[in-house]
Amino acid sequence: MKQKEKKTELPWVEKYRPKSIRDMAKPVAKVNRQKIDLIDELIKFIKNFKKDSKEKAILLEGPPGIGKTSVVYAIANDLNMQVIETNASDTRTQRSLKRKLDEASKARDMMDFISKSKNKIILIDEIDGIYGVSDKGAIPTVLEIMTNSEFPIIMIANEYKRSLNPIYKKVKKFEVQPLSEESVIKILEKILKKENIHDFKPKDLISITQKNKGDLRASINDLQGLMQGGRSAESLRNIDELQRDTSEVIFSLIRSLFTEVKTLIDAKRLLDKSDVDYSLLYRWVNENLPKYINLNDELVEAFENISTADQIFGRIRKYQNWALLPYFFDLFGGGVSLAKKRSYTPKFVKTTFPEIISSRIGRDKLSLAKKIEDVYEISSIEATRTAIPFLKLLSSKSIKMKKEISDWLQLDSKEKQVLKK
Amino acid sequence: MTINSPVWSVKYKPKTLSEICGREQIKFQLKEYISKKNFPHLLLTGYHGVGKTTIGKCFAKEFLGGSYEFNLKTLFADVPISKEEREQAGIRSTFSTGMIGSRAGKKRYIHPFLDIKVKPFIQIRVLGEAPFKILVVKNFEALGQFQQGFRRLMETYGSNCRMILITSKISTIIDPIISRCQILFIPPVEFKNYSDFIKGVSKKEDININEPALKILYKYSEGHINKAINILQLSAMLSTNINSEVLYEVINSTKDKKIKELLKLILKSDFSAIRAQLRAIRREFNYSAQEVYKKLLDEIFILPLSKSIKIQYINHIAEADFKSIDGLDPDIQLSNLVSKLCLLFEKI
Repeated sequence: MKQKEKKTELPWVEKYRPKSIRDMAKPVAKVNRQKIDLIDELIKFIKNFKKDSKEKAILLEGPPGIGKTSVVYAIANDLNMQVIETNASDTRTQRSLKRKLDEASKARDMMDFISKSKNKIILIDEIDGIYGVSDKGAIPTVLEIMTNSEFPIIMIANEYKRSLNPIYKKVKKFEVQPLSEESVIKILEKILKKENIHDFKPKDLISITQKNKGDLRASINDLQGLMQGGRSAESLRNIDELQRDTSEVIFSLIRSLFTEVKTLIDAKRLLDKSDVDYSLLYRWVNENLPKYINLNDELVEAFENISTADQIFGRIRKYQNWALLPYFFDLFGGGVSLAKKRSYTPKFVKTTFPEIISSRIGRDKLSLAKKIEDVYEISSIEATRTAIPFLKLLSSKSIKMKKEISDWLQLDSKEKQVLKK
Repeated sequence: MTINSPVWSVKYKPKTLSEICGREQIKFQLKEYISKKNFPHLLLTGYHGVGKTTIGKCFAKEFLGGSYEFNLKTLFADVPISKEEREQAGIRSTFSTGMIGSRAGKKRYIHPFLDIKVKPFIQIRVLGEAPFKILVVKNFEALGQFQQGFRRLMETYGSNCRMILITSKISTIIDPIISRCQILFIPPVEFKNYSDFIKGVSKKEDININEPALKILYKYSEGHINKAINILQLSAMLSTNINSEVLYEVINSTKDKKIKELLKLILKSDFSAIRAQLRAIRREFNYSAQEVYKKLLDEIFILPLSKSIKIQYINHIAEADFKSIDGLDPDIQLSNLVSKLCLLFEKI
């Protein structure tokens, strides 16, 4: 009984960490956009590994919580091998890395002389957490270990990092895919069964998995939190709130900013609560503002405030003066929503994405603009402003002129079309 | 290719300093530099279209003499870096400060313009007999805060390469750059030189232009010779005898109607349509917010408004332009302006 109590204290993530690949949700990986069976490949790699084999290391890249580390431990367990791990919690300077991995990678255990010891797998977890300053010399050391290692090396990363380029060149990379919702649900159900919980609604399971988008670890954590948090209706609502994706969050945020906010504090709270990137958020406000406010004088007030907010934000970026940030928030949040006093808002307003106008020249005009740039000796941007409109006008005046221009600039049919428009 | 051009503004573009119309004092100073075979970094400033670039380039070519092809480069600071160049720069434009022991900010970002376009040119040594290379940077103000990166380059490579920076907005140039340059203000062409030049062109093209039409042309083009020649060519297609009537007709046809349509929409105060039109204009001509303000301001002379409303109109544009100096999103600043104009036109 005592032991059982102790067991429940463990986080479920640790408690149900797979001991064998049979317990696992099968991870799927991609190599060069081709789907492969990750477990098969890993076992093949580990079993066929020799000191002089060409491929010394494998890199698993993928979002967190989908079983990259677990799969390595599970395989090691199944193959009766020992895992030597280093992760971001260790300082990984040249010396400390060498000390840890060198001995493991070259020398065999003392136990070798007595009995046949376990084979080893070297696991370099969170390799994208190697930083230039604190982990000085780590990358060359990893490279060195890779060439000298007697044991297979598996590296794990969340995302591509440019500074790791020398390593990428020498490893085989597998892109591990997020788990499917069904497989996550299956595992959650298994855990619930083992925990003797039967009154859990399938709908809640689905909302947990949808929220976490294939992140099994987070799903298990959420499940535990929910079960041990008393399973109240409130905690479920919390999941619901988290579940919406960011664009939906913005949609509802914009809606409530214009329809619900009555005081400055309301607006402030609303913006504080959201975790949307504010440099994007105020552009959303700008885009959707005229839909909610339609009286001229109120529009002026709202735009005056948001443009000042934009100006302030520009100054913050320019002078790195982040102390100005509160003004920015108040102006584009409260300043805009409180400008609406009498404006009538229709019940259903379609929130739209902010439109971004590129400062680059459109593809249709680019080749013509380049030709003009050479002849006129003006920039291609200027060509679209002055030269192209003039050439259009000139070539519309007479057919002879049109031919002369196209001969002179050696235009192809596509470029002629631009002048015709 | 330029001599046989059917477009007159290219055909009659000056190729040497002495061909440049008027501006004797500037020309004298530049010729002095040529004879002494030395000059400091130059900053050419003046109104849009007065010929800063043409003067700078003619001067550079004459200064370098025969070897100008290798030793002269013109760059446009306002042209966005293309995707390929950006990728190329991506590899080199960040460096870790860890190497120099600083922990403040692990990565520093260098503007790809400096790295991709400027450095490869100024780092290579002079070819031929010229004393140094010349780099012409047009629209220098577009570099913004990255002007800071330029000032070290001016010192480090100054002996190898002199720079001619060209800008129409000297107020946006940072002080350290100004202190490193000799500033030359290029004035607009005077009417006498202007009319001589236009008369010369019309003589070569076998057309006649009378004195009042010449005055109208000068006034309309604001000393902008390219613009004037363009209009001259268009008028020549209508008639070989150009009088003020022909000229007015052509000037009207060259005017951009999109801004007028925008103003009409503002009168109707249909905000979503206004914004759509604004964005269409910006997309078509790659205008920045400032250029749209200028276009709106140009319309003031034809707007049927009372004096006080006109002043308010200018006031609103000026305020928006001022805000845009710091502002990040041109769409917000422009929307702010048009919303104010809607309210203003409502009062009429």
